[in-house]
Amino acid sequence: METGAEKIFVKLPTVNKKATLIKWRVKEGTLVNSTAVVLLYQEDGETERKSFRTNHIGVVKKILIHEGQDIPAGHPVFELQPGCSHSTVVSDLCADCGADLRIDNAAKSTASVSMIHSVPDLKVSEQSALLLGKADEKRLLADRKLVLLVDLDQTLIHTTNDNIPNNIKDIHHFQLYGPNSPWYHTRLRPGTYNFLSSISELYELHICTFGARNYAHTITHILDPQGKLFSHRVLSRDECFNPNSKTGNLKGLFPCGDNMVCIIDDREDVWEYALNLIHVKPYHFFQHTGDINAPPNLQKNCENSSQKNNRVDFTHLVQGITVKKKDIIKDDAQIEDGEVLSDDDSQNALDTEEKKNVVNKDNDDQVEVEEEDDYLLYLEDILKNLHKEYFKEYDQKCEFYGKEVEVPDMKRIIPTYRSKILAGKKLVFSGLVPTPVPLTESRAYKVAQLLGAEVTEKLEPDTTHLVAVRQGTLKASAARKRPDIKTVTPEWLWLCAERWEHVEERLFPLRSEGCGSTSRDPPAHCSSPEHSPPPNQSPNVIEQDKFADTLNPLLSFSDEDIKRMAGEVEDMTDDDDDSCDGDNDNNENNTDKMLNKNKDGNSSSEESLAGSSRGHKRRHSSADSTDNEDENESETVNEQFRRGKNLDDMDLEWGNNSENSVDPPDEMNDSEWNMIGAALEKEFLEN
Amino acid sequence: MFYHIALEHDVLLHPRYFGPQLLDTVKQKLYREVEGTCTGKYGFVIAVTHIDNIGCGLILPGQGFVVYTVKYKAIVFRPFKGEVLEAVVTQLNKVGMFAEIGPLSCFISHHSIPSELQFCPNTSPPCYKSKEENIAIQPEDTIRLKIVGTRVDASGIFAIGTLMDDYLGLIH
Repeated sequence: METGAEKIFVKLPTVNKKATLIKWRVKEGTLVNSTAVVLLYQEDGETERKSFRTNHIGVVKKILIHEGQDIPAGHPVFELQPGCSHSTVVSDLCADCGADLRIDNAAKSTASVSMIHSVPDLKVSEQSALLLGKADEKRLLADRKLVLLVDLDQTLIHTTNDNIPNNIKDIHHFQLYGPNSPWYHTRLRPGTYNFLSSISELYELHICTFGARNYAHTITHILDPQGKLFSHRVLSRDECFNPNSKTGNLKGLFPCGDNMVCIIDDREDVWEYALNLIHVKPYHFFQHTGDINAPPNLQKNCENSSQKNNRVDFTHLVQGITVKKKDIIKDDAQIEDGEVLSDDDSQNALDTEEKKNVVNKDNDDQVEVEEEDDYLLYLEDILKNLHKEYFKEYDQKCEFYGKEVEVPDMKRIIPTYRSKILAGKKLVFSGLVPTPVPLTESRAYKVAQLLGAEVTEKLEPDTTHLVAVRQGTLKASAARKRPDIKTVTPEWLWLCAERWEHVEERLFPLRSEGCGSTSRDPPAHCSSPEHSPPPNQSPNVIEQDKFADTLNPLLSFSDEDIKRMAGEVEDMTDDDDDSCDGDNDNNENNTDKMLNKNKDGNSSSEESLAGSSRGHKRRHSSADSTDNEDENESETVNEQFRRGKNLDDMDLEWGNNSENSVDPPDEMNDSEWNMIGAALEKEFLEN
Repeated sequence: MFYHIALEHDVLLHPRYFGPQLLDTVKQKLYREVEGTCTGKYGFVIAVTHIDNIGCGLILPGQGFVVYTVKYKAIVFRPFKGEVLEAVVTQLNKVGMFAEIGPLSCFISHHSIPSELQFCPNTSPPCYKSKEENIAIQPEDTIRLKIVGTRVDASGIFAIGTLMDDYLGLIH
């Protein structure tokens, strides 16, 4: 062998004999070490094939003799660039040459990028990372896939350490750290399996969770027993570089940039409000438990009080109370009597639970808890549309520039897609933004902006929507005179923001005083008002209102009933205390109006429920039998919770005594009405 | 490589075990304490085969604990650079593959996997396979590999392997 300035010209050991090169086992650029067979050759006059390996470690620079050619005696066969760059390192061992980098101080490794989710110890150099990343990108594009980073806790599952009876279906129980360690109980979000399997055709799924490694892998196994969806692409707390942020690992996992990456998570802060994040509505199933794996100093503060009736209380299940499903036919939007058939004494305990859960007891003593959370269906749609948008743009680029194009950026596609949802709509808010807050600073404004809508202070000739908290404001009355303006409740906006679609306005008609909804703020779990308004809200907020507004109980009653109810309402409002006397008049005046309105509103909502595929509430066809009443369950904000409870009480009353009493909504919450009153006053003054 | 060698270990025993079963307790404790452990010098202690001698117990002053120096023979597994071993593949990724040789885990970089084997992340489970698709290395497969480097830690030994040599690779 001759040593050049840097390169080595490698020759075969057949000094005096000619030989034939049979096969190369390496390519140019391959790293070879002393164990690697570089080529097979045959010496002249012999039949035996010999394999050749060098004594050097290095990269094959240039192949000088091709397969099948003769090698003249003493002629070099390839050029070798000696030395190993230690581009792949596992726990300070070079994975290419086996050198121990702790002993060999001179050997400097360039490896710094952790590319494998589950093995942070395995590092590769930036150069190889780029190569590998490029290869990944190519493969994804060829498969027409994108990357989806999936969070576990409260996005796809909910886990608790509380005591949960083991007779409930679809809850996974496991221990992680031996027989005496705490039990974990995990409930998958409804539709998770369907969601994952259909979305995995468009996205390469990765798990990014703050759960411990053991936990993450156990859950992954539950979600994906065959390892088809996630394979080993699981990033857990143990592998996270930063305990409070998941962004740190992105650079390593996707060395070519996160242009093709889309993220779903229930919190934005851990992703530093990345633009390619879809903020999903947190999934809550177990009472009293938030995210058990939330980063220590980033606990959510809004949760504990807010979502109580969103979760299941199992106490009554343990007692073995059988709760029968309420028979409410969705199409007819009717409530039938006897919705709650449960043990008499548990009536109160059950007030909110049935709204969300249809609890059946099976023969085999497995209690089935169904719940109303169809968010994943919407999320699936969002992701599918984003995928379509992405590759539409990619294809266009390809057509225009040819094959080698820079891939489009998800961080641009997602906001663009979102801003098309309400593009061209011109909104005016009424009673939504507190007077001291400038319009442009309000959360509602930012939500609308993100969705692409334009928001103006006052009604303008081309205004399309009035988002009003209640009727009777100047803007509301002005808008009523103009048929081109659709007047909706704020829930319409929140629902648009949550589902990323233009929701039918007729589902959110602004009712007379009593029935109007008053949720001025996006649900509380949508934090981060600073950076970007929450892309999603709890549908339950709307559901509850929808229940009040559109699921009209009155239709199922005879005229006599209605009259009787109206009478009762009057009686009740007479009894009402003076804390809301302003509303009393309204209420009496409006009772009839309200009834008529409700009829109208209901018929329209019926139409849209039946007619359009984008009904207010979508679910699996198998779940169609679930009742509308279920929709009215939960909410995230304290106020709404309180109001929701009232609604539920009201609801129970219908069920119980079938006296068909309609509670005047005015008596729902005095303080709240006072607040609204004050806000209205301000608005009037302002105008 | 496996060795059958004589080793020594100090067993520390609480006074509560002093009684007719004393020596049995010492043996049990020895098995518990040495089998499955790993030392840098001798490698993994796989199994204690024979106890040669249990020394006289030395009572520690002030404590009451007794120390027995036990001489025993054990089968140990010590991987060496250049050794060829059979391993079970545990995980494959774009950077390489992980394999286990009993207690020893081993990584094979993709540079050390013959270039005709390409990583296919889309198959389930992912695998390294050749273009003609006649060879595919998947998790749970047995491969023959050659060790090119080892790292000895307090907790265990980690090895780097290669498939770039004659007769290495998938074992059918």
